[in-house]
Amino acid sequence: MISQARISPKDMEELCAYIDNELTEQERSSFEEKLARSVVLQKALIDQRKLCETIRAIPARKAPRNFTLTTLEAREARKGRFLLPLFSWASVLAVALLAVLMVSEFAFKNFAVATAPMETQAPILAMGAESDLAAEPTTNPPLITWSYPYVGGGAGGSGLPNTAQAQPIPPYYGLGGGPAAAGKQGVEEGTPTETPTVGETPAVPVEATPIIFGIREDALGQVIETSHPAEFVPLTQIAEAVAEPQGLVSPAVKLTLAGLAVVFGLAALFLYRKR
Amino acid sequence: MNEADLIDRAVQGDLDAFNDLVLLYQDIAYNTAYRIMADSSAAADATQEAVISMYRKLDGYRGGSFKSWFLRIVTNACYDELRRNRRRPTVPLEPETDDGELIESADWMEDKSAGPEETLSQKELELAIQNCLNDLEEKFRVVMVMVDISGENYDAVASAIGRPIGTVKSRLARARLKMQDCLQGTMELLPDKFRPMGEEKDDFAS
Repeated sequence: MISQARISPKDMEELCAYIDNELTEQERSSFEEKLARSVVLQKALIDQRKLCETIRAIPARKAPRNFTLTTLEAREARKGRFLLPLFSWASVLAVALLAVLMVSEFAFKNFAVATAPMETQAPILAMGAESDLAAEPTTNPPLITWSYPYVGGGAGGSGLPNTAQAQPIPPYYGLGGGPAAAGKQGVEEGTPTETPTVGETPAVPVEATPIIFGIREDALGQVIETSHPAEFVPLTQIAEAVAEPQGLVSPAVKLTLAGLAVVFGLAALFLYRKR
Repeated sequence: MNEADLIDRAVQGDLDAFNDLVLLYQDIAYNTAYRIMADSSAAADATQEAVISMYRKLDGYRGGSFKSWFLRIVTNACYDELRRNRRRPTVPLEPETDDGELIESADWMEDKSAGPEETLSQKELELAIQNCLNDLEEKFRVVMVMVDISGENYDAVASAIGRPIGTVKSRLARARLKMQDCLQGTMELLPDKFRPMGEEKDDFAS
């Protein structure tokens, strides 16, 4: 066998295939060229041929008995032939279904987390919108008074609408347009007696309450009103909802599928071993 | 009735036709199983299992060599039987010493009858080859038995073991090398026509 040590595995495979007539015409002619050049291959070919002849020369064992089937055996064989594939496929199907459910639920959870910021902001945004709607005059509006109503700016307080005669002149009108003392005093509120002329300051009663940052001094520190949306959702609750989104399928369904997969698998295994 | 007719009738459910096919191929099936299993009862079990399995799978027969198809089932049955044996290994019978104690080594089972001084009969040659076959790994043994004993081509073997044809080639080459090594000790006892090139090889190697 020393000669074989000099033969590469590839040559050995070709040698065997050559002996067994398993080479194509091209491979065969190529190998024969190689064979003609190599004495090692020629010796190995002789050895391998003898080995094959030796092995093939051993007498074939006769069957000790007939292996034919009786009618009963054939019926038995046919009876159980569907069960193994049936249980096998049922088990595979259950596992596949379970896997699909798990994957889709996983994807759903990821999607839920991805869209969570938008969802969590929705109540907050709604809160603002609702509060704006709720702030209409039907209820007590949340008011933060930065200046007196109808009080003109410091630079143009002398302007009086043309409707001043038809409508009651609000109090404090024209504040800042000029010295308060310049107006007529003692005119009743809401009952203008004469049309003001240009250059005149309307007679408006002025309170002497000081204003700090646009807020009357007596209103400082007061909370006028606080407002909540109609349905207030605490942020903690929103965070919990995001952290643990509801599953698509109940755990009972998953457990049932897993159980079926195990039962069918065990049945298939039992049948396989029983064969 | 020829094989094709038998197959047609068997596929249609004719049990007699099926049994005729079994009778036609049972010897080669058993011989293949015996060379793989190296045990007559295990080979018989594997053959019977293969016949039952073949009956179940008849609907799946899609033409081609019926013998190859049957041998493929036999090979698979042998694999199953070998796996079962590995799961439930048989306990070898152990002899007792004169004092009644068990001899743990199984060396006593070794067949020493094929000694170099003895004449190698045909039966002994078979035994020597079978012993060398048994020494091969299962994957090499199956390929070698199918090619060299059952006479299957590489395609059929590749189909039977579910491996590419390249694997069959490499396994067969390695199996034959191992067989040659194993039989080296007994080659001198072989009939002349089976002896390798003894002295010439050594001269060549040096």
